[in-house]
Amino acid sequence: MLSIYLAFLEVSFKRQITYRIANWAGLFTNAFFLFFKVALFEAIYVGNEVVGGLNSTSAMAYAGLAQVLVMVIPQWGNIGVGEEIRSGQVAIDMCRPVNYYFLTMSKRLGISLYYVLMRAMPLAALGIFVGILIPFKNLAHIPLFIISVVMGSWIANSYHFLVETSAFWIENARGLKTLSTGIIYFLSGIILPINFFPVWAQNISRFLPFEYTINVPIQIYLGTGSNIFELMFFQLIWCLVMSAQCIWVLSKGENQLTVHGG
Amino acid sequence: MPLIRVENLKKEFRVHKTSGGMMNSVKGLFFSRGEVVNAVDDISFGIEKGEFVGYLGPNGAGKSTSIKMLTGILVPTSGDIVVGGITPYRDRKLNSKNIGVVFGQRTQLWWDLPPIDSYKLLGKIYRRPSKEIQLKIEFLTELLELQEFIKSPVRKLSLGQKMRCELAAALLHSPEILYLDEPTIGLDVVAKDSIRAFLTRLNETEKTTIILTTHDMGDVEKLCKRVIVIDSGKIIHDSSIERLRNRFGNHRVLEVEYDEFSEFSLPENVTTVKNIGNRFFYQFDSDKIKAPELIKRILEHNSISDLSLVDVDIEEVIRKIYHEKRTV
Amino acid sequence: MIEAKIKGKMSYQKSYILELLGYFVVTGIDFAAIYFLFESFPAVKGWSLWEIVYLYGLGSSALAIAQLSGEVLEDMSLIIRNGEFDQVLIKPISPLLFLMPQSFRLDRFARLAQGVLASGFSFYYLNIIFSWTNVALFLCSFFSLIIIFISLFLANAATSFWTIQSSEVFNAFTYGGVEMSKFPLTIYKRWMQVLFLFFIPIGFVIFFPTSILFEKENLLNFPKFSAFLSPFIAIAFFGVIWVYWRVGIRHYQSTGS
Repeated sequence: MLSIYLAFLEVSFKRQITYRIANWAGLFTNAFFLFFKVALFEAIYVGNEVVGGLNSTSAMAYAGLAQVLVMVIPQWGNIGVGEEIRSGQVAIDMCRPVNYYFLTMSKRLGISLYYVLMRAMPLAALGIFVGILIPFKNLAHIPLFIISVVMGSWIANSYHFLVETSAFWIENARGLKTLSTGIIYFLSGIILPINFFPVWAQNISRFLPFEYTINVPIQIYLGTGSNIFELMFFQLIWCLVMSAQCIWVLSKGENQLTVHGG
Repeated sequence: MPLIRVENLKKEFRVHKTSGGMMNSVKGLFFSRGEVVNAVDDISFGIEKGEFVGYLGPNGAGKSTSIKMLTGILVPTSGDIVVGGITPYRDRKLNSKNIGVVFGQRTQLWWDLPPIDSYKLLGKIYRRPSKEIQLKIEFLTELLELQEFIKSPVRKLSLGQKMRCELAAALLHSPEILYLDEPTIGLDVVAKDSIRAFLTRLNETEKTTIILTTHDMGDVEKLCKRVIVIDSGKIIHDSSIERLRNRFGNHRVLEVEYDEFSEFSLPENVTTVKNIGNRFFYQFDSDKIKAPELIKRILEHNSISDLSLVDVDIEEVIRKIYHEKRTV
Repeated sequence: MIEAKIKGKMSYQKSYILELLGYFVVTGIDFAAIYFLFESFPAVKGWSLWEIVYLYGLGSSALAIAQLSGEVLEDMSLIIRNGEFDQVLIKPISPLLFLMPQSFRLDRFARLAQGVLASGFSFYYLNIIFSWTNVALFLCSFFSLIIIFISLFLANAATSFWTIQSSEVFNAFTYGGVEMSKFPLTIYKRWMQVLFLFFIPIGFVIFFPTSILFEKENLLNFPKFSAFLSPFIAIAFFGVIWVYWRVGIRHYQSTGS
């Protein structure tokens, strides 16, 4: 069973590789943004003060790492589910002995893996080279960090999946997509670390899944925030919650499809 | 002075051969190793105003390349083109004012809009006074019977309806020359007929010079007075349609239904192609023996209940031309 | 042409409202982010909240207007690939003039409105006087920025004549440029300043007029009148790109699709 999903992961990964030229240009843009964000966080600190647990150096590292991970843990963009539902492709997938949600997640993880190689690694190398990112102090943290990133990606992709399943019921979901993307974009901590949010906002964010996509893995890397295991535990909870929601909505949607037709 | 004059026209393309693999792609980025293809290889012809010319050739023969040069889209490698006194690729805008183009598979109408809105827009693009465009729209609507759907968005129209609207769009600015690329492709018989009737009328009354690229021999037989055949970039035939038929001899087939058949010797140059019971098919070369003569000979020996005469099939002729070219 | 586009758009009404709503929320989020930032930090290299909001407003509205005419150019490689560009060449009109009005999208007005509002608010909170000079300074930046953005869209489109896949590099400059322009040029490293002052003059046309408007000291050793050079720089930039575009069309006509 698992092998089917792994196969899709692999296929998806290979497919991404064919978009070579587009990737170099994207990498270029990504690097650009990295420098912008880092410069901003350098400029806002006047001295050595610590705000939200971050000083100038760690804030810059935060910004740098956020850009490194931005494609691996996707904040925006279409994951294709909306189109597949509208075009009827999902009906075809439903005839296969696989669960469409897990199928999609396999494909997305394949894509994330691709971006780890083609974006995260080069950008991380760049970040280390210019001194923004420091390699891990505690080597034991590396596997934990990786797991955290995977979970973050899982949550983000599940969220997008959830939003796009609206296609089962709504014809033009562009507004919804814009709205939902804005929300995750803001609350994941990618434009502004959650640490810089006013306290009331931080409290609300804690009960939402978004900060567990990017903010948490970065916290783990920086060593700030509370206990690593506590953070990862919450990530796991969110992974399960999001998956459950997706599966539930999917079955409702499939029902809709079979009852009402395409 | 011909309206369209083409002399020693050549168009070369550099085609990149990319063998697969990472290394070769990288190499491909730096060294364009390409071979030169002569899409159009030294062609010449002249077309007078008011002619209706069929431009034929197998796929990849250089048809669309030459049309693109005539319409100003492509720049030739060498040779002269003069259309209406100007060189298309040099004075593109001026040339555009005088031509109408219909691409069979693509449309110049805006997808979401009803044709009538597209027409008004086109009127502005061609800088025609709105009164003139208004009259032209009415005229073409009448002629092409567009009334029923001219106000529906293009995406809702059938193929035949779309093609008629497309023709109207190409003719709004009353161009002297009309280029048609596969206009009847995919259409049903009724639609084809109405479009052919329209084109014939256009050519006869407005004296619009029409150049038609098509694979449909029915189009050629019914519409074209002259046929130019191109293959592998070279012109292999250029004549009136009668001469085309006669190229391999003027073969006709006489079909006869005998009341009762009794043997008789056939004249020279007549062969029996096949027979089914009392129905006989005779093929003969009309240059060597005329039909009445053959019929007379038949009637001398037999009585018949029915007969019919079929002209040589253009498609067959074309096929022979290609074949001849290949084996030469 | 524009009227026709609007007509076409009106047919998608209901989902449309949701879209507009989406855009407004996204804008609100942009603003919230800056607001939160300034709750935690007093200033960005000496620039205050509303000054930054002004920069945001300027960048967004200029981009919105540029997109109203330039966005179709982003699809250039698609247009070339399905033969639509041939249709353009057959018309007695300059390809640019034909293509640009097709970019017109009503929802860009949402972003424009947001940008203008932002600028407006910043004026109010900063107590800027509407003197001739100040208006001129604003218009200098605004006008020049629009032209530069359109030029970048055009450069993107022109590159499509050579490479099959679209040239995202210029997107990096356009959207990256907008991102960069949201904060004063002084926060960036030397090489980035040089890039956006002399090569893609987004920085040039924003920073100097705005610094004078807000009476900032640090002008990077440039004389004050540099601010008013902006429109000329922008037009020169456009000129260069336009030549590139013409060369691209010529290339297309020589090599076919």
